[in-house]
Formats: sequence, C-alpha cells, structure tokens
Amino acid sequence: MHRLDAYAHAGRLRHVHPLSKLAFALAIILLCLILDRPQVSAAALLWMAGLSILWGGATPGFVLRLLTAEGLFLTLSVVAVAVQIGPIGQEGGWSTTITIASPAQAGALLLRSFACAAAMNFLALTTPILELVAAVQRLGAPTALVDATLVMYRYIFLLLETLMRMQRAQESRNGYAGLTATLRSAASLGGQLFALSWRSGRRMEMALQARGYEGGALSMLTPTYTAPWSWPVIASLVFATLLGLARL
Amino acid sequence: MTAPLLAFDALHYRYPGADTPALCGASLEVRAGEKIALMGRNGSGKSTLLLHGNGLLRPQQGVVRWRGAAIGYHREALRTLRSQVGLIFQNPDEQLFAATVLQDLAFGPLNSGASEQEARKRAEWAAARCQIEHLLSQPPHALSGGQKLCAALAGVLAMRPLVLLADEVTSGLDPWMRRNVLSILDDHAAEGGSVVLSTHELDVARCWASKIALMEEGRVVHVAPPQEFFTSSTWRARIGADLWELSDATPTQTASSKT
Repeated sequence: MHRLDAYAHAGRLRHVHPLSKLAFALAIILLCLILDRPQVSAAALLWMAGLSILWGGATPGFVLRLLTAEGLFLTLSVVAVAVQIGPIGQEGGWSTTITIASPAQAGALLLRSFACAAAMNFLALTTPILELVAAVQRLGAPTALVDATLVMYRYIFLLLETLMRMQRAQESRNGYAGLTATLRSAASLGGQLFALSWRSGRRMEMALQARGYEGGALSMLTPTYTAPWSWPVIASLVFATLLGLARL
Repeated sequence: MTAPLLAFDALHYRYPGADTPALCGASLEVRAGEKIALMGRNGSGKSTLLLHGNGLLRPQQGVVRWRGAAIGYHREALRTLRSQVGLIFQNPDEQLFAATVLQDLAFGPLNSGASEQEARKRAEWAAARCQIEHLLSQPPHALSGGQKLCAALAGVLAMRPLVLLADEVTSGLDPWMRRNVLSILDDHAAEGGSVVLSTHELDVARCWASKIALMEEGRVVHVAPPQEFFTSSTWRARIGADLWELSDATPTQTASSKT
C-alpha cells in the first residue's frame, strides 16, 4: 500500500486532473466490455501496463506483482466458465463437462478481466486516492463522507505503522512462538490497536481545534492541475488502437 | 518590563476521573521575545498548562489572559486566540492529517479566515522557513520523523502566531534536526514572538532558553534565567541536573554541549 501510494505521488501523471484519469480508465474498461474482442483486451492490457511503467514510473516488477495478485482471483473465478459441474440425471452423482468452446470463452473473459484490472491499476498508480476523493466531492459527493475518507486514509497508515511496531515488540518477547502465544498476542494486539486509535483520534481532534477547526467541513485548498500536452495525445492513441483492433 | 502577551493566572484543572489535579494553582507570564523552557518531571502538568494556553482546556479555577484580558471560550474568542497562540503537539502524527503537506500547512490559515491565495502564500512561507519546500506535494506518511515535526511546526507557523507553545518537540531528534528546530524557534522569538517549550533536555534549557520555568505537582514553582538554575545547588537538584554528577560524563561536558 505504501508503494502504491508512493508511485501515485511521484509519477509524471500526478499533475493531470484526477477526473481526467478516472474518465480515461473507465473508458478503457467500457471499451473492453462493449467491444468484447480478445485482441482489444490484449491491447488494452499492454497499453495500461506500459503506461503505468513508462509514464507512471512504476517498476515492471511491481506492476507484474499487482497483476499476479489480481490474476489469482480472476483465474479462480473463470474456472467456473471453463468447467461445468452438475448432477447427472436422476441416478445421482456428478459430472464435469468441458465443451470445445468453454476454454476459449474462459480465456477471453480472463483477458478482458485482466485488461480492466490493468486500467484500474493505472489509475491507482498515477493518482493519489485522496485527490480522487476530493475530485469526486466536486461532482457532488457529500462533504462529510469525503472528510471522513480523508482522515481514515491517513489513519490507515498510522495504524499500520503502530501495528508493525507493536507486533515487532511482541515478537521480540516470543509473542508468536507457539499457537497459544500467537492467539494471545494477536488478541491483545487487536484490543490495544482499538484503544490506541480511540486515543489518537481524540488527540488529533484536539490538534485540529488548536489550528482553528470549529467543526463542519475541513478547510482545504482547491488543488490546481496542469496536464502535459502529451496526455491527450497518448489517450487518443490508446482509444484509436483499441477501436482499430475492434474492426479487424 | 513589558506587559505579558499570555498569562496563566492560578490555574486549577483536574481531568475527569483523575484522583489528583493536573494543575494546582499554576501561574506563568509570557512576554514578547521570551524563550521559556518549561521543565518538570513527567506528570507535573506541563502539557496540561500548554493546552490551556491555546484554549483547548478550560480551567476549573483561575484565568488565562491574552494581552491582559481574560480569554473567552466562545467561538469568536477562541478563533482569535488560536490565531495568536499556536500549539505544536509532541507527536506530529497526531497533528498532520491532510492529503499533502501543502494542504496541511494551509489548514490553519484557512480556518483563520485567510483566502485560498493568502493561505497558499503563508503555507509556502512557513515551508520555506522550516526548509521543507521540497516536501509540499508529499503525503505526511511519506515523511521521516524529523520532516513530520518540521511540517507540524510549519503548520502552526503558517497561522503567524505571536506565541508558540511547543510540547516536547525536540525530544527524540538527532542533534542536527534539534538544532534546526531550535533555530526556527529562535527566529520566531527574534521577530518579537515568544516561545514556551516544554522539555526534559537540560542542555536545551541551559543553552537555548532565556528563562526556565519549573513545574512541580501542578504549580510553577520558580521562574528564573538558566544561570540561576544551574548555579544554585537547590535548583540544580530540582531540575535533575545534579543527577549527571553521578555519571561518567562531567557536568560541564553534559551541560555545555552546544545544541
């Protein structure tokens, strides 16, 4: 999560408007779904992974790892398309059926899912999530929801750091040496994290008040974005490739 | 002697459910240009006193005064007070909340009524003062401990307060970062502001502060220049400076090391 966030903040597409990147990623997903051609999905997958690496600044290894993790879930899901399992007539028992077309269908579905996942990865690797949330606010999302997301996102990192520190401290005292110790340590870790997050939340509230917060929406600057000229060019090129392949 | 900017007058405060009071008649005056090291054992009431200075806690007895007038605790009065008296928390992680350092730095000025343009300008000025301009687009969780502290300090400086209350902000810093933070506080005092820094660090109290205020059991028991504390055997003992005579390091080595 730390790496994903780091890439999103450091990439060359950081200053492109988040809604523009969101619209781009959604358009790619829609094209993959509507055009429904394996060559389109394959091209979208290559484009998205390539742009994440070459333009977003992510390492090929990291992009591959993300796709592999997603691929595990996707592959398990499409197995049901390739292989049909059902009861045999009235005699009882079960049969496993694979038709000539089903592996090809499953492959096409898997490829399409991978392309969609790569489009979402591109968005996550080039756009800090909070900027996306703030942009969505301007589309009419409730302010309270956006503020809560903002603070919660910050808290996820704080809690992760605390969790790692506490877990290390437990480990150093053989906290995970056996099953009983593991269960005991994990339980106390959960309890402590809950208490700690409550105390931290209270202190953060005081810190906000100390800087003049009086309740209601959090005061934030309106972000400014400057898209490089190459952004619309590349985006158009991607769409042209996908539409062109769909005609083949 | 100039009139105090901020004055704590015989404050009493007991946290809900606590057996003993955190403050028990604490009084302290803070004047323009002063750099006060607030010392005392853990639990002596230092943090509680600082929280009163920013209006986060309301005394159960006693008065906090800003430029001679008792502060009010309604919204308008607190807004004015918090624009003048900034509070930096010990743990910067509890202060930094925004998506980027720039957003966090602009938060205080925006709350004080500054326009977006003015808030951005102040945030950039504060970042330059704390030497973190290169971090403005970074999220707080990507910063190191020292950088987080500088960001927290800049977040308060961006509000342009006259008095800075800093709660143990130099503890746990390496000597270079500590020197950097102290020099930012020095600049603030040199420009007519004042700083109250709660600390356990004897060398900071001796070399940086213009005054030391010692707290014991919820009271400020003595306020004097550092020389008085470090030359009198009684006060040396009460701030814990005599403990160093038992160690291998000589007192001069320990106390005079430059921050």
